[in-house]
Amino acid sequence: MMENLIIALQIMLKGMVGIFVVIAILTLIVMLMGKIAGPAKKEDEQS
Amino acid sequence: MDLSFLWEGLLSITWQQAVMYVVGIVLIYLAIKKDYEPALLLPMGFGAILVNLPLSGVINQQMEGIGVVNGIIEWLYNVGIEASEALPILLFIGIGAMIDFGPLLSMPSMFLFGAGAQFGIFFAICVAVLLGFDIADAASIGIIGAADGPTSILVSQVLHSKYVGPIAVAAYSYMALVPIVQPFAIRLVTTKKERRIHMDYTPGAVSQRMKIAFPIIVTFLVGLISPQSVALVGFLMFGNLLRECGVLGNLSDTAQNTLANLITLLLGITISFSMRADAFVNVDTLLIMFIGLIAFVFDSIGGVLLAKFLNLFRKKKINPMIGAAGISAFPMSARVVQKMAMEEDPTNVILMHAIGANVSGQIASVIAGGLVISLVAAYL
Repeated sequence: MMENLIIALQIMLKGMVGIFVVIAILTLIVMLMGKIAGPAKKEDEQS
Repeated sequence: MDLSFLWEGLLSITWQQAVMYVVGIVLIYLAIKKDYEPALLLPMGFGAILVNLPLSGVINQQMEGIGVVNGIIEWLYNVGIEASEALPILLFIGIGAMIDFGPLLSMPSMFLFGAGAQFGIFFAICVAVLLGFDIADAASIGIIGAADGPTSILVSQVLHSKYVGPIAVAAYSYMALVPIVQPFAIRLVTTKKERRIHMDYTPGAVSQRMKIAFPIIVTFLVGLISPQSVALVGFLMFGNLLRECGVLGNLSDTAQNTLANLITLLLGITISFSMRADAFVNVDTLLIMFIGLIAFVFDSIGGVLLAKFLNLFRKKKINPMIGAAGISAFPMSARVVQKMAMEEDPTNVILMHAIGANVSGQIASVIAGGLVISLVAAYL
């Protein structure tokens, strides 16, 4: 059981780090897209 | 004249099958009377009765003088879930077409709470291991904390867990019980003062181009980091692209309504195959229900604690309840958080922030599902 618990804890560590890394990258991309898409939206509105 | 065949069926009912009839009726009662996830719990409840009738014709039977007679529910299970996981994956097209990522894209900081509120999954995996389940089963049970029925079914099937039935029942039951479970968990780790925190709502602009690019970018990114997530995330994002592209209105409507309804209908009754008395009526099922509850509670606690941690570094404080909305149960979790905020202060409106976090939870839960499959596969 101890061996499995150590594996479970490793899965917890890697899993949470993995999710936060993916989500953090997504957040940065969306923020960047927001900056880029901002002027584009104005163009859309003008046309 | 021998008429014993008339009562042979009645006399061959086992007590475990009788228990399953009660379980089936309770699920149907919860679906109809309490409106708890009726689209899933009602088919599952009725299916639980169907598959547990003695010599039921909906599962394969060996008949004297005839041989094997195929049963429809067993066939649906073998084809739609065991062989391809097609039913839960196809359902993601419909779910993707239903989601509006706008509130999340306009407040990207809400993304983080989707990640924080997956903590319950991993905590529950540890609890399951401590209770004696092996890693594959523990991971399958832990994924109940994704608060996402199709993901729970898919992960437990991919990992060849023998507990698909109890896991599906737990996942859908607790999703229906979010309005009861989450307030309890949130109150455990927040003060009245924290629950009264107001938040400004100043969303950024979200262009159509951004909404179209988002599902493509998410698919690329998540697919490259966690290839096992591609089936889940890819189909979710495909559905969302249908919605946002602006030129496939009919397909988007079909995905949201006809496809989603049809698959939901079949998924519930198909999953009932794994609710046969011999596989369902045991102590493990009770343990799974208990661990599922732990997973939901710690999802909420994980999200709240993340918000409280972020507040240490912020001038404008976040209402920590927003963190709890980062689970996948949409839009129920966001509504629960808003209701709690208004209970403390009737002027406090944090619904849009909660919806942003809630939508993030829908993405994070499928990412978590893929990561769990990848990580567990590496250890097996």
